[in-house]
Amino acid sequence: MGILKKAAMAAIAVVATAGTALAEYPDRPITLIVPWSAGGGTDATGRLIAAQLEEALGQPISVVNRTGGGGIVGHAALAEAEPDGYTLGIITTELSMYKAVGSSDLTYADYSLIGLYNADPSAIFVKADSPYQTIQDLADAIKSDVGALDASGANFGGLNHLSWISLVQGLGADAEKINWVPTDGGAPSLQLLVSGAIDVVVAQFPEAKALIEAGEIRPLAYLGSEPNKGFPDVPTVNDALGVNFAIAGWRGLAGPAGLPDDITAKLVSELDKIVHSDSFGESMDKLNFGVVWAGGDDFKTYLEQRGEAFGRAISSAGLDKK
Amino acid sequence: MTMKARPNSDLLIGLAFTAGGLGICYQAAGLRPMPGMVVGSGLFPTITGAAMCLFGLVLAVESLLRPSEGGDAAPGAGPDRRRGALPLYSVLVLVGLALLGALLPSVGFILCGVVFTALVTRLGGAGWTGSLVFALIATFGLYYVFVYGLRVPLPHGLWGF
Amino acid sequence: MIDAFIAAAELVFTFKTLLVILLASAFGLFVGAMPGLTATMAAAILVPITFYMDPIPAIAAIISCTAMAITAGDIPGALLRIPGTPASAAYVEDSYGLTRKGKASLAVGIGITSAMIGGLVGSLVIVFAAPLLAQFALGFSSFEYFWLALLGLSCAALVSGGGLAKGSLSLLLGLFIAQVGLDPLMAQPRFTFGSSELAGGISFIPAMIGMFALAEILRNGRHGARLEKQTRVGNPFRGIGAVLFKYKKNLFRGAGIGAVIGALPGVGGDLAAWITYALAKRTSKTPEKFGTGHPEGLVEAGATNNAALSSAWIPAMVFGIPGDAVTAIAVGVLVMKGMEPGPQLLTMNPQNFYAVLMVFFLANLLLLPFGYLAAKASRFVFDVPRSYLNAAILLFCVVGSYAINNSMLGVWVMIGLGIIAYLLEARGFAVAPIILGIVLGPLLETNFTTSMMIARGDVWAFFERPVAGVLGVSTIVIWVAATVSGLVLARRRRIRA
Repeated sequence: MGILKKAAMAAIAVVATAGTALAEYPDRPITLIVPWSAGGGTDATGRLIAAQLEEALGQPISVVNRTGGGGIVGHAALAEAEPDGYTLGIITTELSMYKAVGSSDLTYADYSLIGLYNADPSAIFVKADSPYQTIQDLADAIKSDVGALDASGANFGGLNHLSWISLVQGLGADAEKINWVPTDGGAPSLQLLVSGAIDVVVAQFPEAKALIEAGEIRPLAYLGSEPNKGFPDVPTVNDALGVNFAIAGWRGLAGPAGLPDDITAKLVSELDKIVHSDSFGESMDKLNFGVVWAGGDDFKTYLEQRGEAFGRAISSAGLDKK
Repeated sequence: MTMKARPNSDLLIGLAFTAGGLGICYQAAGLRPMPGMVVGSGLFPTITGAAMCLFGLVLAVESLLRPSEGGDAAPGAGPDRRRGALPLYSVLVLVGLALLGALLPSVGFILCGVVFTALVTRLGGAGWTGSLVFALIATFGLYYVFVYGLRVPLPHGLWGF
Repeated sequence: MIDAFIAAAELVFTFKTLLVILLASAFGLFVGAMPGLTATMAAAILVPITFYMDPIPAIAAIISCTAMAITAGDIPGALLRIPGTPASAAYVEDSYGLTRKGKASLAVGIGITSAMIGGLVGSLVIVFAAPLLAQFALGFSSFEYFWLALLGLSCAALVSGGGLAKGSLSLLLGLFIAQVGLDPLMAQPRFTFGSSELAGGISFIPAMIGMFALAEILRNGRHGARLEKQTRVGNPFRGIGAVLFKYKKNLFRGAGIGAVIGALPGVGGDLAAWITYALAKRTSKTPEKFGTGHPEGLVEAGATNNAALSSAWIPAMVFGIPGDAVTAIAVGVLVMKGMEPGPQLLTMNPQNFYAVLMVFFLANLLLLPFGYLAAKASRFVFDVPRSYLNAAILLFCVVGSYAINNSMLGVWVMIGLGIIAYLLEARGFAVAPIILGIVLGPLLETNFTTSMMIARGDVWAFFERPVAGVLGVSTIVIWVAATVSGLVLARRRRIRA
């Protein structure tokens, strides 16, 4: 088995590197913290990054899932790690929300930002036999009585919830009347939709693809500014309703704050190469994740904007009080 | 029942659970509710806390109604179970575990593991040599399996191993 | 269809694929037999390696490794009373009970053979009923899930001995432990006392290791449990045929129910074995023997376990809704290899679908030779002097509970719950319902709150959907029956006294 061989190789590597004490970074294995559970989108893309980074840096990278608390546990573990470049981690959308919602004081300032590699807007889905044929039908229903619609898609205060709030507000309806059914994520929400328990789901395309193809659900609109490559026929809300949108889920690589500049620079340039490589693009395409690149300071600017947009949506929905 | 019956233990445990249930309900009442919703973070804890309270009382009342019997034996616990008294070996093992837990992050897995395993093996009645050799094999074996085979980083001490 | 079958066989029966299945099974056996390591962990470790494989070997690696790891999780349960999965906690008292009677090989053998038969039945069910079961599973909303979880938990509380009050208290303790951490609704910290580590919640692996393994060592001290001398037999599988034949009804009923419940994403694997164990006890002629090393429940729940494991792949493959971490990882691998889950997997590329099924059959068949070796090797565990064995178990307890989240909290949870379990067991409480409470607590709570929000607080809505109504009424009937029989028993005792 590969494990044995790997163990042997690793043992040799340890002995070999012990001789050259002051070797260039990295000279020992790196740990990559993923704040979400094995099997999710963050885990899948994180392992992809880990595998390619391992090749580029020539050191084994072990992926560690530190889950729990809506991602807070893993994000906190990364922020508190030794800033020596041997503990890195994936940071995700939720980091833009913790402070505004009041669940944690963590912000992007607690990290050395390396690079953004993925961003995906959500889409709006209804059950196949739903009375809402177009996004316009749904918009009318929202305007007449948003309180009668049961919507779901993620946890309370999560990305999809905020997207739904922004849409409802954009249509001029009362966001306080929204009945949002919180779940652990896209899959359980879609299950509720298909079983006929709720009316609308806000989720991302990769999660819903199989159910769309099975004819169980229909996408009504995409919440990005341009149509999704995989589903070019699904209109964007900007086109269909004239509501402007700037909310997307994102994922990036980071280290604890205070990473030495030369290490950060090295990681930014390696990640840059990986994100722009064909093999990474192909794998992300297959998983239906959108590839977006923003390295170092660009990543910081991106997160500043996100933080403000999320903050606005959160405070206007009254999620930040008490 | 061959063992000495302890009529009061069920009463005490039942009352302890009742108190615990009340504590859970009290804590749950302090959680902030969802804006404009019937359901909140505290609803489920309140229900389970109340149920714990109720069944704690049931257990207490049961033990009062039939004071001549102890509890039913747990399945699989078997006749060789010693009620109440914890063997000295077990007490020492617990002390060792607590020390191990306290020292592991700063001293590191290898050193802690060898010392702990050697002491526990010796405590179990093996000779010093056997204990030490076994401790070395077990600790290093586990270390390599986990760190290199399964890629689980075990705690490194302040000295880096 | 025949063409697709032949094409599938050509994909599977290559030297490379078969070798991958063999190696992955061996790896699964190793990981599963180590207390504290999970099938999820085994699958996650394999993922980077599957990047370099063709689609079918890649999937084959995940399937065979997890099937073997989950089944092998029964081995430390039978030998040392350290169950490998929440499901195997359902029957650990019976398998360990057999070991105490000197029949360790029989315990391991029964576990493995009934798992194999359950797995084969489960695979057959996928062949013939995948679309049907998938449709059935899609009809389940939070209302049905809530009742199903409550039904399973009720079974665990009422079946595990100690009486109604003690069983319920064990269960409620587990449910309470599950509530520690950030709540699923608003991510408010509950019962964390300001600790950020506790905010991540208490995972069941350290709890399970502490409550079963550590408590066992604490109770028995340096000499270990009083075991009868292990009977030495040349063929560790001797006598298993007779046992399985005697309980053939349990075997196939367990497999059938497992295949159906397993298809429900999220609950399947963990719950099904508990429900069929309770059913076996209910319908048994000798229910009093359950929990003392009686094979009947072991056969039924063991078969259920692996049948549920197979059919858990149905919603994952047909609708892309993974039920647990293992199938979620597998869905990721499927997608990476261009075999996207969805109905087109059955229609457009049926050879891939059938190839996956063949891997299921092979992986389950491989359980037999590997299980034989494991059963044969298992008696050596008892040749190791207790002083060494205990030290090794304790070191494993520490490493295993640390490894699940790479945090010391796991170690403290293991120690703390080990002590609590020791104290409670000494008073006749059963620990298994605590474990199931921890595992299913979040599921029960989220489906309860979700349903309440959809119903806007109206409790009657829990009975309005037909399946939910039936499950709900069954749950209530079980509780009423248990209460009445408890009262009658108490009355009789008092009259006798």
